[in-house]
Amino acid sequence: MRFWILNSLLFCIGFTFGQAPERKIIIENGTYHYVTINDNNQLATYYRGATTSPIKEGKRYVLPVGRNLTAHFNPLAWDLKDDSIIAVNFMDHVMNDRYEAIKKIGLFDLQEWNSTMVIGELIQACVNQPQYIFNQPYLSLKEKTDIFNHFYFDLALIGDEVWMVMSNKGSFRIWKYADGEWKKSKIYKREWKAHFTLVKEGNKPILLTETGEKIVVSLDGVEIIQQGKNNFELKDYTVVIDRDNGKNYYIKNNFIIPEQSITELLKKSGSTI
Amino acid sequence: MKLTDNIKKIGLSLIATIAVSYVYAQDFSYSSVSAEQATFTGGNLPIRRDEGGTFYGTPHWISGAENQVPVAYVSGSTARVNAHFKFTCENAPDSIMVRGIGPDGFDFEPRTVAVEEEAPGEYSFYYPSTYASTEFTAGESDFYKPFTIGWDVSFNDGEDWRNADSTRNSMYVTRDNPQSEAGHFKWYHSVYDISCRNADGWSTDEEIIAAVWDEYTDQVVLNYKDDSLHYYSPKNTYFTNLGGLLENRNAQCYTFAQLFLATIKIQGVVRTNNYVYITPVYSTTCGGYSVNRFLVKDWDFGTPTGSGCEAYPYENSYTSLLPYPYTDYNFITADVTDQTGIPGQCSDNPSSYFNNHQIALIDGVYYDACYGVTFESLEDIPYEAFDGWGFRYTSGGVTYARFTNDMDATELSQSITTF
Repeated sequence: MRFWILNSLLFCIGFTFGQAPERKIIIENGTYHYVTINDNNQLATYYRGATTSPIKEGKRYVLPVGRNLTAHFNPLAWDLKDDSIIAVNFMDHVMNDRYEAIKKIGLFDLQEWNSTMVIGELIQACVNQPQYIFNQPYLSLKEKTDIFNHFYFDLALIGDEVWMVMSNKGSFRIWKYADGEWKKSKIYKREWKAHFTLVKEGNKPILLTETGEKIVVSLDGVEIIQQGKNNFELKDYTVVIDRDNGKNYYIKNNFIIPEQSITELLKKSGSTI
Repeated sequence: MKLTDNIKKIGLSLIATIAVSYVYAQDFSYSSVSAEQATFTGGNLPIRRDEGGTFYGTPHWISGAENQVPVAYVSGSTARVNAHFKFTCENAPDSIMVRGIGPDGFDFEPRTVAVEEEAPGEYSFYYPSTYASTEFTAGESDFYKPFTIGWDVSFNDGEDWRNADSTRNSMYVTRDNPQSEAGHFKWYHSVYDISCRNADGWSTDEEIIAAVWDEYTDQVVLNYKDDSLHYYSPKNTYFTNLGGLLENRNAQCYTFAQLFLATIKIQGVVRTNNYVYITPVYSTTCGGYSVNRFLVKDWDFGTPTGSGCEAYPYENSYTSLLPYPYTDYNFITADVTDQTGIPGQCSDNPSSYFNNHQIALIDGVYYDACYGVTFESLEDIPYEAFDGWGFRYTSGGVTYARFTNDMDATELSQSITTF
């Protein structure tokens, strides 16, 4: 009973914290980085703070990208490279071009949220962001089919390479952008029930599936290196990518408590992936 | 028993009845009976507020409340209601009879209920949860606005009934169980209202789709309050989901496609691959620019002044495309100018310069709920609804848009998902 009450309390606290991080929290040089989305206006907020300070003390910035909310929900695809965020802007907007959706945004160009900001103008800024690289994975999929069903995608950065995995209608394909061009794997069959997340582990892209499987992906093949877990649903967890220690963790979304630091949260509630 | 004894007994009984009636008739004023609240139960469907999206609670009817809570059931089910009443009098009985008379024979049977004294001279009684005498016609949508229950009371075991008060709620009856909420599809008040208001009395999928579509064809879509839902009026709206449309009553094209599909899904009509995102098929033109803009009618093409790209000779330029008051495009230079063209929902001249647009696809027909028009094929849309194609680039802080009115220059592509 005590455990149940504690869990309920933690859930409530976690819930009042607001939106869960989109997929992941990245730790680098003693600083955490994560992104949330407002599901009403689709706008992203980027958070940054010291890993040893309470999360609530972190700073909040407007990140000029967003994502829509569909029945087959796909969180924002984003990653951190040096002082920039690479993200796929799949915001619903009549002027937003999905072929130009991959953006690169300098972290130190971002504005902190303040009460004078006009949402409509911020959304327009998202739409006006120039593309970083062309969204070839989406175009290639689009050229094969008009039907999008269990359409999920994510990206991860490994060195200067951009890796993407994109699924649709019971299959998926791996993409790598390097040296100015996209290369692709063959198409693999697999039924997806929910979104996956792509992370870097060691120096390889790893796909974390909705059931907790770990799949090493490359242009040449895929290899399941860890089976899924009972009663595990990826949507309930945030992936913590600790680049300082070279480890990745899962932490349950409702255990993310703003009064605690990332370091404390990982110690209490993190489980190694 | 002798006849005379019987006559005596009947006489005494009559005197007693008259006496009792006389007492209550003197001490009780019917007009003082008021329904305080009523709550529907028995499997009624949850309904979300348009404003904020939270679910309505109970009771459904509260005396004096400005807005009463709507009620919804699935056809074939039976409404069930309970109600609290109060009245004042000097000398109240221990119990009275109460009944409810609803529309179309939806009556709530007489129940004898206890009278409770709340304070000297102030009494209350409770009509317990009771099913209506008949069920909602199975397999048929229904609509009552309002569903009025006239509450009667009787102080002589149902011999005489007097109207005491009435309760009034919007009542929505869906043909089947609504589809489950997912993504932006939620069981909003106006989704029920628009759907059942139009599908009232209809049964088959085809009838319901056609009836609901009628709401859109005159370019006037009204929410549950009979307020207009606007398509880009003014043009600067950024709302792109159903909740945003219903809360703010002005939104982009995504939302009207979602609303139309929602008003079908709420009836339990199932159509997959029903939500279509259209945008120019990927192609590049002069300088490698992506052709990713189109103009919805009407635009006036003047003298082309653009240079360096013969295929797209018309050029407009802008920095702030839609300044306050957000009613007109603000071009620095313009070979192509916006005219009042195809009206949108509650909007004479909505935005018409787009990268993409959303429509519904049902049984092979494209339904554009923003404008209340249908298309037989994707290929028809540009020729019937567009005036031009375009691309744009930015230089020195100025955006340059290049256009052609050659409708054969490119074509539309579609991405179909299930809303």
